[in-house]
Amino acid sequence: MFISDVTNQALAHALRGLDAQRQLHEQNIANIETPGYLAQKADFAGSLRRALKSGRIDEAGIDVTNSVLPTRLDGNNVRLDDEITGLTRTQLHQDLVTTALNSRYRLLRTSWDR
Amino acid sequence: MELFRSLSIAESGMDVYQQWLDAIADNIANINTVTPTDEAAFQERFVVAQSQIGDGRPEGAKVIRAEFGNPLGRIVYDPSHPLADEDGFVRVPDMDLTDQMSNLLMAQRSYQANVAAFERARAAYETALKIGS
Repeated sequence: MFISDVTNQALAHALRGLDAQRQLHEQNIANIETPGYLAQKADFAGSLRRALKSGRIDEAGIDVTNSVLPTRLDGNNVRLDDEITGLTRTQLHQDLVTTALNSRYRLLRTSWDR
Repeated sequence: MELFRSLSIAESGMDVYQQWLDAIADNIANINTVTPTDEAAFQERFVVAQSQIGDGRPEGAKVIRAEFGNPLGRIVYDPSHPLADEDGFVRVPDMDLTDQMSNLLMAQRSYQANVAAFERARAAYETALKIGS
């Protein structure tokens, strides 16, 4: 196992993607009263899956898309409950990925401590 | 297999009751909307929910369509009303404020129940993430 094997790179990519997702949730909440603003969301999983399949992990990216939900009268389509629950989901997901990364590093440390 | 499925299920319930709350708010806002007798009355708005199953697993609920109440409304005699016809009649929506208020209460409580389910699921997942640490 290497410090930067494909699993750790995938986990690191997931952390970057989740951070982008969290930032977009925050930006959406900040713009909840901005006329014409469309909610945005980040997806890292699709790109990561393709990159893992082709074996080129460094090609994994983060796709940002606009929400297609119906807009309110002011042209804005941010829904507060969606953003708040999204933040909770992102946080749990970050906890999960961090736990996985930590356990990998813990394993690595046992080998260089002796 | 979706990550944190219980969260999505609770969210779908919140979405359904949010839309019902919107519909009830619209009904209450229009409870006194008067129309001339040659036009349709405001129609009470209903939402129709349906349970969602994907690959044999529960996926919560979804609003599949809106239904509308009676366009004929009720004919009321009010000759001093500016919209009254030559016989003195106007059309008012066929809605009852008592029904709307009890629906409002039900929708609000159901929304809160889904938020509670979401919080319980979050706590359970957080506990699961502590396994082994």
